[in-house]
Amino acid sequence: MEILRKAYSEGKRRLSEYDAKRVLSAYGIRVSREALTATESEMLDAAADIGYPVVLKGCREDLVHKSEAGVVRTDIRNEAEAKASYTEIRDAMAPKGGVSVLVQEMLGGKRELVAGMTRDPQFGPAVMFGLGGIFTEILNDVVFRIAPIEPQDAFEMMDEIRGRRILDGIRGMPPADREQLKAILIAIGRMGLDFPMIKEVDINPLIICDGQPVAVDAMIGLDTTGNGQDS
Amino acid sequence: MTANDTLTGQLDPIFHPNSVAIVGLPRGMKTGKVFLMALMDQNFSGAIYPVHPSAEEIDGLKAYPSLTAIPAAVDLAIILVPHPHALPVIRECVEKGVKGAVLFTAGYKETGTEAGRKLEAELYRVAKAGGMRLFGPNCMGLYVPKSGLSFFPGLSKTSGTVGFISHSGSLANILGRIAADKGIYFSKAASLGNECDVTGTDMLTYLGNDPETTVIGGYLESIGDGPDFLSALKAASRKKPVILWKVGLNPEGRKAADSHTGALAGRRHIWQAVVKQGGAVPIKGFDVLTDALMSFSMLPEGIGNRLAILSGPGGMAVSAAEACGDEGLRLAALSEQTRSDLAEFVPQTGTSLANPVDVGLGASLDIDIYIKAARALANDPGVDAAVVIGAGLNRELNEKYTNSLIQIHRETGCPFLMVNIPGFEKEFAAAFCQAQIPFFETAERALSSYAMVRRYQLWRSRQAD
Repeated sequence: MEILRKAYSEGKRRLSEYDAKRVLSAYGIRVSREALTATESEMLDAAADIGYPVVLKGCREDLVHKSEAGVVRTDIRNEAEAKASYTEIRDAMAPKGGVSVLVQEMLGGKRELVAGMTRDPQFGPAVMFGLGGIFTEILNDVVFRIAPIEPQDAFEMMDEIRGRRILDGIRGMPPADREQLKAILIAIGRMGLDFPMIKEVDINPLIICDGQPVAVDAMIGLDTTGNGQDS
Repeated sequence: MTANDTLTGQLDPIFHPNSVAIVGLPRGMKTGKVFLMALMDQNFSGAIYPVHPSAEEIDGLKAYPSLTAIPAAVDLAIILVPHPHALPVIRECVEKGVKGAVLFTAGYKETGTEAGRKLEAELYRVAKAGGMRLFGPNCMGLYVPKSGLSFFPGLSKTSGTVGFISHSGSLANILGRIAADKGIYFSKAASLGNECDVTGTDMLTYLGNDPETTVIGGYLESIGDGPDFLSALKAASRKKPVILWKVGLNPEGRKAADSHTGALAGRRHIWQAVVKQGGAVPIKGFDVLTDALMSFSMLPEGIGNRLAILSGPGGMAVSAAEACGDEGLRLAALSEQTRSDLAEFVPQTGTSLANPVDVGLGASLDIDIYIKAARALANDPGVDAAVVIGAGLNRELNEKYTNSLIQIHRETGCPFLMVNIPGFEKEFAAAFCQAQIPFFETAERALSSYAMVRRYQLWRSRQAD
């Protein structure tokens, strides 16, 4: 995949959120509707196109903790709010490099999951699934499987987390589409096997929207030790 | 011929050798002597050839100055020479057509030096080119009672069906020494050391295909070849239980991770994934290891979840019933017949005829109450297995208790899980185990082990072939 090869050959440590999601899309994973913009007017066009409310995020591969860096604004309801937020994000980003802003649909799902991949030194790509968002670090409710992930592995992962009932139809919300979640976990394992240059993948949050899992934020980390070349 | 046939073809003659050479066997009582003592102790029926540069004879056996000077074929060489002398010995083994060697001596990769690593790699290269397999270095080697092969004197001569893989020679040794009292008997045990050639993965594959082995146990410190190990584990555990005790599972994630996934991926998480996908039975600690080996090798196929509990001490009956629930097992509903049978001989006060059956203190004086109650429960078609917590007040009563329950188990086939009451004679505990009735220190351990076997059996029945 060109995005990966290019970033790897340039010695980049990770892909930007936008590029990471293009890789996920290529593996059939649904990502939030979004557009990458370089100017304020492009941003406004994209926001109108996607439809308010939107999310604005500074997008550059060196931005790991975007919220802490002050480059994320959510629930933007109109053009005036968009302009004001854009100015703030631009001011936060400009001192360290170029300004590009990702305009995203604002997804209403309340259930946040996490899915990811890390390369274990002994067993190779290991896929993770669990509770996402702020709960990932607090509850540590995650489970791993070694790639390749078989359908049975994926379903077991969903059943093994302590918070498994979050996947059921609860509080009037439809149950999470387990077939889609299975496909995502299999795809993440596949990515690790297909591209040795991928060191890690994070989809956090993976939001359940009307039962469908959607990657709202994503990170793909690349190997920088020279071990990822044989692809 | 597939790769597995080749592995079996290569390892079988090493585990069943007709002749053993001990290279570097000391004349006096030095460490290396245990390997000769072990073979003598096991009454090894094949030829034993000491190899020593100057001795003509050691402990009554004719010694040879070199392997090539031995006038007959050598299947297995146990190599005790210091590491700087190992390479010429391996070359000689190849020349002699030795099928396999155990390298006892340390001083290789485990020292962390480049010289150690290189020497080990060279040993492997020479052995491989010569079609010979190596165990070790830095290992105790093989214990195969059927072949009269052992790495230490004092291990049981009775052969069984447990195959054991160990990254620690001393742990394998200690397990071997207590196993017979627990009724655990081995088909083959191998201490692998640095694994320069034969690895834990090879042994899993070999024991998985070995008709002499029905249960595999392993104590693992490290795994070099992750994906191969997982494949071998998947294949073996679909045929027979693979009980693994893995150490070195520290809870830390990796520090250099940018991702949540990387930060959360502790060794324990990864190992849990391997265990789940591989179908292994994960355990921790020596006590659980012996409980598991005992239970897996003694309990029959297709065990059910309806347990009867028979106890003299009331508190232990209650805690056993609770452990039953904790492990996802059920208390069997006793039949009318069983209840009326029990009512005939169980005193009316201080007892309970429901399950758990509490026969009260009187049963430790009138031991027949235990015996009759055990028979009634074993004959109840609604009882899949019985936990028996009992003891008499003296040795004579305990002997009767032991012999009678063994007899009932033989006649009815009902699995009994015996639970110790402190003071019960060790020899009778061992007698139960030798009759292939598992004997546990506590009811909790008994039920946890039973549930472990049942979970594995259910898992395996769900696996498509």
